Amino acid sequence: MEKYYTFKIKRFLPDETPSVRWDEFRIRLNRMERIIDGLIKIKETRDGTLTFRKSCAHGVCGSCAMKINGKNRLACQTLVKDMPEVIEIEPLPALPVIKDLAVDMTLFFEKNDRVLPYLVNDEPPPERERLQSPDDQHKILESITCIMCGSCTTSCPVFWADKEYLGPSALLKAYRFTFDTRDRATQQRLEKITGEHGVWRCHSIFNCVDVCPKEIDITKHILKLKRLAVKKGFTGDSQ
Amino acid sequence: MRYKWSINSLAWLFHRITGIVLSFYIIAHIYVLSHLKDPESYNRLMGMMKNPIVKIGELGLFAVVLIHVFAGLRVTFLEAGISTKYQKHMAYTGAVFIALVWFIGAVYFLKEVF
Amino acid sequence: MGRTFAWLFHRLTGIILVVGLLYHFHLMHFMGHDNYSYEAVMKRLADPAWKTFNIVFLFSALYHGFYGLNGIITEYIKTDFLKRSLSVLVFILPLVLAFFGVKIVFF
Repeated sequence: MEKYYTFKIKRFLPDETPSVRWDEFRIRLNRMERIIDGLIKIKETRDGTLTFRKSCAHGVCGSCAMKINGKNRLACQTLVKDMPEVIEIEPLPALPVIKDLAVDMTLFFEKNDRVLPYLVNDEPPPERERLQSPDDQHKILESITCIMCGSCTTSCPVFWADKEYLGPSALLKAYRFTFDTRDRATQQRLEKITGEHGVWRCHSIFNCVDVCPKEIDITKHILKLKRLAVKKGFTGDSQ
Repeated sequence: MRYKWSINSLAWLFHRITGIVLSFYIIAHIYVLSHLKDPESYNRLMGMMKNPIVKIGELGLFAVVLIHVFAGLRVTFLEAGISTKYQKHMAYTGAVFIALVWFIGAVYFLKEVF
Repeated sequence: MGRTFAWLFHRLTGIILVVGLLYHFHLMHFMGHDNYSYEAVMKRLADPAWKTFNIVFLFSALYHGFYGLNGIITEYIKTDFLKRSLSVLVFILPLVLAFFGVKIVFF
């Protein structure tokens, strides 16, 4: 079942004047195809200069995150049958655009780096693995599925206004390690995320949850971090 | 920059705007109350309250307060531990409550006044 | 820890305000003009319990509101000068207003 779709794509060509323009492409797609298929078709048959990121094309690498009809989505996971005939495609908001739909993710990754995104445990390593019970693993199961696509942080109105805000992705990463029973850096991480632009800047707007392609309830995790900070503040207890 | 609004992001937006409005209101309110040191000037100011435009302003204030209270309670409940799976429910229910309470209050208020 | 407690206190004052404000609003806006005439106000203020309620109510409102404004400044104001001056204002202003509030309630 093929149909015509109009892809309205926001272009950014830094070496041209004007550098920003909207291009329209009318293409035929099978209703079960995705936006990424449309973009590839356009690049291959209409305009080879169209630039976008793509790797796995099946929702696990996070490369093709972009704003589609006003909402951040993965292009490879958005079926055209779920979209109207006219589809507006723009790069992710609030990050510098390198070209067309490719944005500079440096700021995004920097924030993740700031929360000590690795296991911290100075105890002598056991003979084999550091064990974790199924219940313990369950605590972090949702948070480990993050594919670092950037949809969440770039959908957050706080991040739009305040580029120093750690953002949902970094805070989720902080949760992933703080609540990992094998980790011992709770204190240090709490210090990093309770600063001026940390957890207290989250206002439970839920834009992040609305766009996460892995359906992670990010706000739920941030709320858990807030409650942990309060608990530790008063009782000095560890997790 | 255009981005799609949803019930939850709108709840935040209205919460923030009403918060700012209420902050200015409280400053004005304390200024007015400082006239309590002089019964004449105070009663003169209170006479202004009979003005229908002020009455409409009071209704507007009532709406602003209701929006801020319900949106704030929703956030506080979530932070206290109410499951986030109810966040949209709370937002929609809150909106309905605000409309209802405001309407009932407005009817009662206008009856008292006129 | 300071920021953690400041945040928690913001939520606590919020709860206090919900209760107090709904009652205050009812008293002032839904009970007719005579309820806030000079005489009526001073009569109520003679009661020490009412004085206490008003102080708690006022201080909660000032803390709650200006903590909120401080958050807005942190998020939107990036230029050094504006940020510093507004932060100072948002700290000093509630203290000044609290002072006037105490004056009104007790003197």
